[in-house]
Amino acid sequence: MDALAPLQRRAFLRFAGVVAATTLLPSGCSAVSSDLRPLSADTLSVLSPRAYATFQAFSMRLAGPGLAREIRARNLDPAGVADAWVARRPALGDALGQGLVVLEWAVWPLLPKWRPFTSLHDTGQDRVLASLAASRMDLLRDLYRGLKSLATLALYTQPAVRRSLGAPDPFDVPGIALALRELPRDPKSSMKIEP
Amino acid sequence: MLRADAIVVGTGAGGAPAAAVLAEAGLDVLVLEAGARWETRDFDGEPATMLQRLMRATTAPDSGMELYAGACVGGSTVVNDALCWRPPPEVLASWRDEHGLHGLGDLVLSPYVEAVWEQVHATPTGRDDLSRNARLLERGARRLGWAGEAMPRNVRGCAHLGLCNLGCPTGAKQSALLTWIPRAERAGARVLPLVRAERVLVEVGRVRGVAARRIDPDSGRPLAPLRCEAPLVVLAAGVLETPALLLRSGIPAGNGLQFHSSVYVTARFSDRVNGFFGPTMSYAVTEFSDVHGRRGPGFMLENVTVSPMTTAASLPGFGLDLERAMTALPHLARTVVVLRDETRGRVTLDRKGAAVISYRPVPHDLERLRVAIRELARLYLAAGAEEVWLPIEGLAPVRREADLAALDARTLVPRDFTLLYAVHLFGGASMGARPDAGACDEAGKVWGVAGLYVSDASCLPTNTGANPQITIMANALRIAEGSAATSSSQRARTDPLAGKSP
Repeated sequence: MDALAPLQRRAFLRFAGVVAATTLLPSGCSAVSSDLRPLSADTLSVLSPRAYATFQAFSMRLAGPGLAREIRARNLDPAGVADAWVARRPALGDALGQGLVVLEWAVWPLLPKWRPFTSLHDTGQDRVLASLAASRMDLLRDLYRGLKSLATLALYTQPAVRRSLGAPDPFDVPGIALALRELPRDPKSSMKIEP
Repeated sequence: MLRADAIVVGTGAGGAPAAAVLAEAGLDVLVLEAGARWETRDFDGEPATMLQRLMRATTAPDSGMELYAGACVGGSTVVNDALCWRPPPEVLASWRDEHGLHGLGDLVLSPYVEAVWEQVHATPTGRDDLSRNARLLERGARRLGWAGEAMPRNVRGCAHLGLCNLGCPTGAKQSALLTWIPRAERAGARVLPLVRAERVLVEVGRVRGVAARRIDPDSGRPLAPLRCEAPLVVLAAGVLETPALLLRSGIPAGNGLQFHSSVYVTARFSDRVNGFFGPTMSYAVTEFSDVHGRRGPGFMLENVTVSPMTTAASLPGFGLDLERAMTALPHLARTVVVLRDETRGRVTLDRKGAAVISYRPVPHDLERLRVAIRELARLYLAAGAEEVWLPIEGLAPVRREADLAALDARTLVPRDFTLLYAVHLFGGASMGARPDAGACDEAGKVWGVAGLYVSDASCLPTNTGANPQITIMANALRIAEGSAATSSSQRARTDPLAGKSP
């Protein structure tokens, strides 16, 4: 699933370039907090350290506080997974980088903020995500959907996350056998299987 | 340079059967596949790895619709959900009556369908094979008095791992990789993975071969050119590529693109559903279908596995809302809408020669998606769901039927859906009764180019209203058989010893 497919468009790339050029000045060039930075920039194939931090921040707000804690604690690295994923797809790598430029640097009236996304508080970041999801601009909706798809891929395919949600590992044969035994009828359950 | 009697481009449902037929007819067959070759032992069930290896995706820029296709030896048959429907008689009748394709009737296609049915081991799905996820769909349908049925699947000894669409790591799913491709190779076909066809070579109205490039397996970048020559070329590179290949070769194509559009609806139950186990899909509500004898508005509702990634991607909202839904994962059930679109799109080329898909759902299709979502939510509530998430950003979960008023009040555009995608693709190089009605004739032969055929879903004149792999394979057998006969008679005319043992 190439989550960033919606962003693979010349119009989007031009749009991102304009945003980068026109909003860098008002939004400033503040430093990124240490818990969003990559442990080592040398390990990144496609993303810049700033883009890495932006994707980490987006993923934390998308997935909610539980997984955000794991990302902050470095137990999960969605931006690292995303970087490896798009490394094999050069065009998507470009689109991801440009999309993250928009998310990080775009300011009002494009997005409801005056500062870089990574420097906003939680509520400010949530406001940005809600604005993207409901935007009247197709390109901004595509940005939200593309980043959401890639972040869900980068998070929910991780074995630790799957296990924490109660989903099995691919070859969890005992778990499957247990589930199948439950299938015909569980007398304690209200979920009766109708004949 | 490579020479052969026949070249088949693509190894999926349209290419692999054609390769087998041509090789068994005694032709020296070269099969080109842009993707890599993976075997059952390589299918580790890890979604990230499998998606990277087996699939490709693109989008329709005008609507944001996402399009997926297999990208490996075996094509989409490796990543489909093993569902088998015979070609709907109504669809074949419309191809005959509305499109003038008299050679595609039920009687003509029927023997090919039966041959496919047997080859891929399509078998009825028994009640023991219905997961709890599927049974909830069935339960809701029964309570509402709606028609539904378990769908036949092409499997042998399914282990209920819930990994059909990630290659099937036990080899139970009888994809082209395990059926048609070995059969073609036993008959002498040479399968070349990681070779992408770029252009069809045509001289004076006759096909000469294919200009291709080897593909770097790590980066996916094109490497050295490879010229392949043959007097017979069968295109089956999929709906995303076959029309583009024709267009790059200066041959008119690209019209008549049609999808089955899809969205997911997710429901939470108080008891565990364990929707990640069992066949990824197995039960269909056919009440609203307009094929196989039904007269509904034209959609089916099919249960689908509750994989964490696609579930999260298709749920509306983010943050606490998404977390609350995802932490209930074992209690979730999910169903996909399979809409028989009326929309027609087209394939064109960008400046680099890559396919660009134009597909903007017409209002009637969006309206029917709304109806499908509403009815599915009603079904889940009837089955006992505590809440139902609709695949539309900004809509709250539904807990009672009255909540569906918000859905009815909403004006829908394609980008309102959390994930609107094409689950099946058709057309772009359609068969037509005349050159101005399609890219090829009813034998699959491209108009104006002797020896060039199309055998995949891109040659089907419309969508089918049901999962199409059996229809595609049967039609590919028919086309390949015809092309082999034509090729043999031509060889016999030019070389009296052709096909005879030395």
